[in-house]
Amino acid sequence: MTTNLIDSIETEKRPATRGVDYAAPARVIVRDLVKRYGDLTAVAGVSFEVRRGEVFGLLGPNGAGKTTTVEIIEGLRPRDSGEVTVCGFDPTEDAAEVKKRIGVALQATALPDKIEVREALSLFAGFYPASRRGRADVDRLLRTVSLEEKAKSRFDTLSGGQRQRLAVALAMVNEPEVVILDEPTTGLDAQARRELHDVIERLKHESKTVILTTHYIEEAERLCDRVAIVDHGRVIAAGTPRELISGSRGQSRIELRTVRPVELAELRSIPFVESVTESCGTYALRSPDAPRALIELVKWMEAERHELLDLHVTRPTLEDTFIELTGKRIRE
Amino acid sequence: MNMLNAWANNTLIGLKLTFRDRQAIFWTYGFPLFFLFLFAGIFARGRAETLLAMLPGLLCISAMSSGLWGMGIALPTMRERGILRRYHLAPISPWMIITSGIASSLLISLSTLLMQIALAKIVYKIEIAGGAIATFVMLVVGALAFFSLGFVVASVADNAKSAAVLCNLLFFPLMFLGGAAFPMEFLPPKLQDLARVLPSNYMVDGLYRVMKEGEGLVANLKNLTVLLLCCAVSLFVAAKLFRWEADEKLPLKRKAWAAAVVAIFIGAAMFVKR
Repeated sequence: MTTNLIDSIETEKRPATRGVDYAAPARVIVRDLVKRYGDLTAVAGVSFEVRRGEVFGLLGPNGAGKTTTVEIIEGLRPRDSGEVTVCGFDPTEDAAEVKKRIGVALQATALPDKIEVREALSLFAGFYPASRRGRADVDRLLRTVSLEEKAKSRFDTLSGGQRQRLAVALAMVNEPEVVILDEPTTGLDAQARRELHDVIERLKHESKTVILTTHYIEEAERLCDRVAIVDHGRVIAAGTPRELISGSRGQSRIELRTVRPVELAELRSIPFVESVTESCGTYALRSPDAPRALIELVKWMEAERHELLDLHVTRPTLEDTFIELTGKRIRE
Repeated sequence: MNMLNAWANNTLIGLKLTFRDRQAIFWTYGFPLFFLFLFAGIFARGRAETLLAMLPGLLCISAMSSGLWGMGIALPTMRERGILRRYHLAPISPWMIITSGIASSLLISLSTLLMQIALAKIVYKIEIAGGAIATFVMLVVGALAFFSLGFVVASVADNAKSAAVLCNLLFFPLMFLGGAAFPMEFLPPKLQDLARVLPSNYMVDGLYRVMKEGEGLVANLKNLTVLLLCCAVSLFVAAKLFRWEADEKLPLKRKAWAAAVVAIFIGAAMFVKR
């Protein structure tokens, strides 16, 4: 009974990976990728794979090599060594084949000042073979990125967030097999960032394969099925946000308030509880396994006839993991 | 078929963008208008006969300025601002950008040239001796040569600033030695030999023969051939040197290669002349 309950808690909290196809060959394969600019090694042996239907995050500080990595995948830059395969094609050898199958929102997308939103979308849609843009009609794209009202607006009148959403729409004009979003929310205010997160979540619901680079930890944690943490041109850790967090020393915190005071030593004796502190009537329990500790805590309280006033659980964040792995806070 | 549609769409948007840009409108229509009245009112003192003799040079200056300044600066600007980069993400070739850019600019430039001719006819009552089709073909071929040259400038220059310098370096010899500002016969003989290599000479000569002397296209086969050759060689070089990215440097090999093509072309032109 207990195990079943724990299983169901586990299942509920699992990230939305239902759309990920682990049986199919990876959509994007990067192996031992190296790129140098003169003396500077921007990418020093990066490897990862992206599965169909997966939102894959490259998380790292500025200058970690994320943009260079995706620009090589996009076929915009040549690589020095390593292997890159996108939908079965090499972006250097078969640039045209790769370009037909991917959609890209650059870190900064520039368009002619006086071009209208709708014009830009239909212009770029026209650059792809007809078979590739059958379903991606312009109206639907405008809806996806919530720019219906801006259809007739010129590019130079758009805000940063609107430009970025137009960039995402442009990345979708060819019904791409892989969507690459390079730092889509950098430099946006909180509101614009939230709107863009909604757009990316819509892509996720449509089971799009997405590569997302970001230096915002919450963004990676919220949007990505799997994350690779990149620093100094290397992948220093990879996995689901949960795996990354549980692989680190970070622990969940259970905070509770009770009607009657509780003995700290008694709380500490509950299985799966590692340490207990108290301040102003609030008890903070640290646990390596919060779901099990919670069940044990509830059973104990039931037995001891304690009544709860308040209870909440704080999980360790990816930020804790990030700091532990890189030894630094991520820079803005 | 699909790519042709995309090409037409890109050309149409190119036209629309020009008309939405007030500065571009000024340089496209206001400036040539000013030049027309300057030539007609001051240099020709309103005399129809003199203006007709000057008109080929004036039309050539208009075509050159929109070709060099328009095309030569617009593309490096798009590259510098990262607009070309967005285009580069799509599966299209440089030819799409080059030919569609030339098409939209050519249409706009032709409207300028025809406006100048029409005003000269209406206001100063000039009488053009040659046929309308011959005049039109001469204008189109001449303008094409300069637009292609503008693309070479755009491909060679690393940014808009150096493109402007290159445009100046080309524009003034083309204007003063190329017979556009005054007849080539005014130049010392040695300089005339050199000037014969400049494409502007062939456009001015062709337009003069058609508009003033009433000759047809067959009589101007040499002028047309030279201008078309100049166009073909320029386009070829421009496409070879085309860059999408602002930080992309031209490899020395490609530079040398393009310089060799240009040198062979110029050498051949001088040899044929003698």
